[in-house]
Amino acid sequence: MNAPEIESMRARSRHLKVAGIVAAAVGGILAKIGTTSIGLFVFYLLLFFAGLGLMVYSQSVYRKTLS
Amino acid sequence: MGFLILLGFIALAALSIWARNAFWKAANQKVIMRKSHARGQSAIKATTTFVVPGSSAADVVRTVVDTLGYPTTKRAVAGEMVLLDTTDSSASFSLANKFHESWVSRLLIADKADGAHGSYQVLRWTLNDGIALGSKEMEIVARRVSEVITGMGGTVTIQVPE
Repeated sequence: MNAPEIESMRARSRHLKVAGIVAAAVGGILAKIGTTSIGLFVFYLLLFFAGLGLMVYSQSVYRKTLS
Repeated sequence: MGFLILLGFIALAALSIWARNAFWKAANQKVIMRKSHARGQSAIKATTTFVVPGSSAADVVRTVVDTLGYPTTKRAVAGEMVLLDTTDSSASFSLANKFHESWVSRLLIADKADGAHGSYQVLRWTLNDGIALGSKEMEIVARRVSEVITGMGGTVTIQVPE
């Protein structure tokens, strides 16, 4: 990998991490607030875990740029 | 009497927090994340020592820092590798963002008659429920430093105390 490719991957990992943080925060807060609809509650939980997954994935993308 | 009851509540709250932390620390280190814990501990304890014949300490520091190419400014949110400081005989690296440093490592080199002698090791680290943060990055950076030194014609020894 050359320097521009590395910087491009690092930028992608940053964007993914921010998206993950936002998704996990929104999902977590909404799930904590709660709802009377079980479907919505499941959606909030999915949003939360999708955010966590994005954060983990973004870190693995970043690690590739270190190697 | 009221004061004693308040003290009792505070002591009970502190005890329950301590018990919870101790439980998760032990559970993570011994059961749930045993392999991650073992990897993290060996990454923390590992010391890379090296000799680069015919090179000066400043050359080695410059080559390692230039090859790794880490930025000198921390990002606001994303934790990334940064170069904290560098001199002619040392360089400090960290996995950090603006609010938190997961770990800090140091490359320390001295000029000797037969070349540059130095070491690389993790100086400070952070535990989260008993597990070291960023241990994979610790391994990658230590490996990259070894590769750069070897590429300069140096000999590298990695010691991991039991």
